Order: sequence, then C-alpha cells, then structure tokens
Amino acid sequence: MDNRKLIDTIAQSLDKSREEISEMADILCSIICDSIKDGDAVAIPSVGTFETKLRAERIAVHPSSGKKLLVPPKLSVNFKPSALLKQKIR
Amino acid sequence: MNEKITLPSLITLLANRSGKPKKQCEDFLREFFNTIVDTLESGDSVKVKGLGTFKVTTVMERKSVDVNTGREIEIPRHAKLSFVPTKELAEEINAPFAIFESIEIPDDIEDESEIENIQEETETSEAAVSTVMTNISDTEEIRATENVDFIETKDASPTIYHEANSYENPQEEEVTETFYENKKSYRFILGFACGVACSAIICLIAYIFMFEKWSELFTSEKESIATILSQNRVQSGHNIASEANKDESANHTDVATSDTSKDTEDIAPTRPSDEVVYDTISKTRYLTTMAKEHYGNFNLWPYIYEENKAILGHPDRIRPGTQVVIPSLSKYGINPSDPSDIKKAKQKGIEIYSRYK
Repeated sequence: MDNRKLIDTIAQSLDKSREEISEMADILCSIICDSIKDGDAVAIPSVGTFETKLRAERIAVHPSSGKKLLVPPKLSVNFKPSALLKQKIR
Repeated sequence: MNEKITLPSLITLLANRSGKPKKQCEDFLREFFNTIVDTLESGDSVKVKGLGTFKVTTVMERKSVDVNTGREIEIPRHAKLSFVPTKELAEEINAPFAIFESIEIPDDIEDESEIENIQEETETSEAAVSTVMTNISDTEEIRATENVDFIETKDASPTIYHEANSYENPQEEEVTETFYENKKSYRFILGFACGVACSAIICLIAYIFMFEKWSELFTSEKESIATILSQNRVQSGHNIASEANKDESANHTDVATSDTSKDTEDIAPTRPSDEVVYDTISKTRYLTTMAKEHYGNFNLWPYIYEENKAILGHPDRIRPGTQVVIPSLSKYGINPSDPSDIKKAKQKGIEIYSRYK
C-alpha cells in the first residue's frame, strides 16, 4: 500500500477530504522526525516506538576490492514494534 | 531529549501545529495507525511519505540452542516487521555524523596492534559520539545550536582521523604502545613546565619593578645629601680643614649619585640612545602598544611602521612573532611632547592606511 492509497483509506473512514488528511499526515511525519532528532522516543500504544539508535563504527571489508574500511558511526532511525503488533503479524 | 513522547503529547503537538481541534487529531492518529496495522496484518507493506516503509518479512525456520538446557531447538518460521526509513529522514537524523567518511585501512597491520588500535579508535570516537549526544541532549532547541554541534563534531573528527593516520604509518608495535602510554605523562610534564615558566616571568617582572623603585628612592636620597653638603660648603667657606673634608665627601657622593643615575637610565625602557631596539609583535602587542611604551604616545606608531615597511604588509594584518626595529625618534626629528608632531604622525598613519585601499 502506498502513501496515496493509505490517505484515501483514512479519508474515507474519517469522512474527510484527501487534502486535509494528507496535510495532517505530513505534519505528523515532521513531528515524529523532529522528536526523534532531539533524541526523544515517540511511542504509539499498540503499534510501536520510533527512536534513534547509534550504530558504532566498525571495520568492514569491501566486497569487491577486499580492502578493509573503517566505517564511521551513524545515527539511524529505529522502529521497535510493540508486542501486540508482533503478535498480530506472526 | 531522552524522553518518551506518548500519544497524548503527540496529539497536543499535532493539534498545535495543524491548528485543528484535539478530538480531530486524536481520531486521525488512531485511524492512521489502525490502517497501517490492519494493512500489515493482511501481509501487505505500507509506504508512508516522509517516514518510511513498513514491511512484513518472513524469517525461515532455523536451528538454535536453548540457552538454559543446552539442547538443540528449532525456531519455527515466522513473520517479522521491518521498517526502512526514507532516505531524507535517514539523512536528516544522521546529520551530526554526516561529516564522517569511511577510511581505508592498509592490510599490512599486525593482528594484535590492529585490535589495540581498534580499541583506541572506539574509545576516541565514543568520546566524540558522547559529545555529540550531550550536545543533542543538552539543548532543547537543537536547531538553534546546530552550528555549534557541527563545530563540535568537526573538532572531534581530527582526533579520529589522527588516530586513523597511525594505521597508515604502521610502526613497530612497541613504539605505538609506548606512545600511548607516554601520552599522559608527557601532558603532565608540559603542564608543569608551563607553570614554572609563568611563575618565573612573574618573578622577573616583580623584580625589575621593585629594583626600579628602590634605585629611584636611593638616587633621590643621595641627591638630597649632596645638596645639603654643598650648601654647607658654601656657608662654611672660611673653614679650610672642614671644607676639604666635606668637599671630599661631597665629591664622593656626587660620584655615587651619577653612578646610580646611570644605572636607572639603563633600566628605564624609554631611553633615547642610538642603539637598535627590537620588539616582537604578538597577539596582544601591536605597533601602537610599542609606540606607547617606547615613545610614550601610541599615535607615533607610523614611525615604527615606516622603519619596518619592508617586512610589514597591511598595518592591521601583521603576523604575531614578527620582529620589528624600534627607531629612535631623533632619526625622524620627532618630539613626542610636541602636539604638532603628534598631528603629523596621525596624518602619516592615515597615509599608510590609504596605501592599502
């Protein structure tokens, strides 16, 4: 399901216009983005938690050249599904 | 920072930003996530613009060992949720580390030293990371201080790169080991040396100052004695025996006085002698500081500049550490106490600046 279809579905069930829902979805995404950028975790009950995770630097081997590379540390977005969601998907 | 944003606060944030009532925001949030969960439950993936893709992947059955009993068990095949953030989101989150790049490590490093170096590396970059993290957590309004963050990380990066450079010049193991061991003691010695040097300078300044004062006092005392004695000599001119006696003593004191006054002349910084005087530009010593010190008026700096114009560029961009010659003012026929000469010096300064326009 892509973004358009998702918004269509929500708009239908809430009986609102597509534009309105689309705007709300954009704001929601920017809120989540800003919050996790500040180091907070956004927890949505029965769905899961969005948070940033620090990946430590490591030594990797380049697959084609075979050379060793020191890969720098990285902050990445992590979504941890809640136990309920995990159960549902299983 | 390091807080958990729950649904109610998320609703408040959404209501504030969109300007819609809270009830509507709550409905939207519930519907939004319910739709995602429902779609995922049906096995489909969901793509959300600006956030990422939620996807259900299947994990094949695999064999494992029960940690408690040590017996082999089989983990059955199951579905797992995976979330892949969009490129934009991932880049935005990783902004504090965006300046780092992968570094190539040469192959000819011995295993042990490599492990050691890796440990060192981890420590240093952990420190760097913690500075970044504290920066993130310290500031509520992170976007306002983003520049500071960037500088901090930039500061941290040379240390990492410096460490990494030690890979590129692989020395003998022992050498690198002792280098890291000695680093601490070397720092201590450096600090100690700095302290000793500072106190020595303070003592020197204090000594010079005290000596000057003392010699001044001494000179004036001697002078007063000499004048009293010479007065006495005039008054008791008829007494020859006593006159000769006093004359001798007066002469003696005169000699002493001139000796001490010569001494003070040598110590005083403002001497009108013809010998070449050098001074060094530093971050806190400019041409004006020198003019004030040597001539008694900072407006006379253009004469120092003129004397050294061969080695100096723009008068405001002289490198610290440049040694300049302080000319005697008689060379230019300047009297520091004459207001018209000061005026001339000011005009000369304006003329020097106009050369660089």
